Amino acid sequence: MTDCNDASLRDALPDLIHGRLSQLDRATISAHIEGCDACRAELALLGDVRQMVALTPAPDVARIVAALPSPRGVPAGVPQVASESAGTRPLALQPRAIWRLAGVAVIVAVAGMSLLVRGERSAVAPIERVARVEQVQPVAASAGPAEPVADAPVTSALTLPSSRSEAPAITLVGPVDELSDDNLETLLAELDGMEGLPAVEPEPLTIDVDDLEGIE
Amino acid sequence: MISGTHGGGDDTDRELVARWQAGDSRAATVLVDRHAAALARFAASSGERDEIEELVQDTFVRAFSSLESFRGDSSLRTWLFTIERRLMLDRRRAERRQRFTVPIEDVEPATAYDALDALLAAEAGDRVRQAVDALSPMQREIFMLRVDSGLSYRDIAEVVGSTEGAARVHYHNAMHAVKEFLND
Ligand SMILES: [Zn+2]
Repeated sequence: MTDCNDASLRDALPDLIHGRLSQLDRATISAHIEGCDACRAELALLGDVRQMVALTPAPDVARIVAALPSPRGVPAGVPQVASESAGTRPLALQPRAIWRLAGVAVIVAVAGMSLLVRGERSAVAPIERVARVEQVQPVAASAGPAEPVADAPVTSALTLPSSRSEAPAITLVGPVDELSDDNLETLLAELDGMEGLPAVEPEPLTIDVDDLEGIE
Repeated sequence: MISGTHGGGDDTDRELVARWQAGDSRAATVLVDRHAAALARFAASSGERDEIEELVQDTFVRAFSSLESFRGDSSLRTWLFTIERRLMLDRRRAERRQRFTVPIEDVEPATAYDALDALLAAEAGDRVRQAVDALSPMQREIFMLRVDSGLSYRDIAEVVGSTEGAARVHYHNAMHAVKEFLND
């Protein structure tokens, strides 16, 4: 068995049998092989070599897959739900946590109302501020496996008027996002202890604020 | 100069890797199904006789355990071959230590195989297998990665830790040796 003199063509023979040549190269090399005994013989040999290992038993794919580690971010042993992406699942707050956040919003709104009234009396224009509640860990959701809540910030836009000149009537003023996690936890815990926290539907909370007297 | 196109389907492999990393376990099935048979054939042609399936499984477990380190500048298949080859070398070193035999690189290539396999191959008239088995381990690896797996010289160089030029020389020497063997 002799070798073809065109080394470049010989180099391309394995690419030809693996279908890795462009259409142009394939046409060129095919035309050459037509008239080249050496290349035809080498091509046949390549086929024989592939045939030699073709009978190697194919591994059991399912068995291999079962032995693989879990994708990053999914703790080992935690069964995955179909193909839902654990990393991009939107934050699902527990209903109780939602009511608690709603409670925070009501308190902030009531406090804001009082400040708005005081602000009008002192002729200071109310400045609209937007409070963002981010990455709130639902305390009540401690039963199941931890969900990656940090991926989906919850944004609740609260209109929070404030006054520059006067001290707030109640202690809870200012943007909620300035609260530390601990403070927020404490706040939520206090809300838990409050009577009148809505069981089914949120109702306005009654807060005793001195300045609310005489509004009307 | 005719050159093979590189990495037909590599983009899809990368997409599958990304999907698996995002939690889609079905992507792993597609990837394993796509590459397991080629890894098994490479192991068989490299002289592995026992527990080829375990070797292939170990290769995938290693790969999926360190996908973050897969840089993606080579194809996933090339990377898998690299891991499998390292595992085969580890196996042989462990076997050498166990049996206190001479290093496999120093063994006459043909005797590195089971005598029964050689007999069966001869009886079946499998001259091609004998010819390939007679190559040196390095020649045989490069020859099979090029012929059966269709890797480019560049990818082969990455798998065996050599240069593109050296891979090409080994391939042509191997082809020459196989032809000589068959001409005898
Ligand atoms: Zn030719």
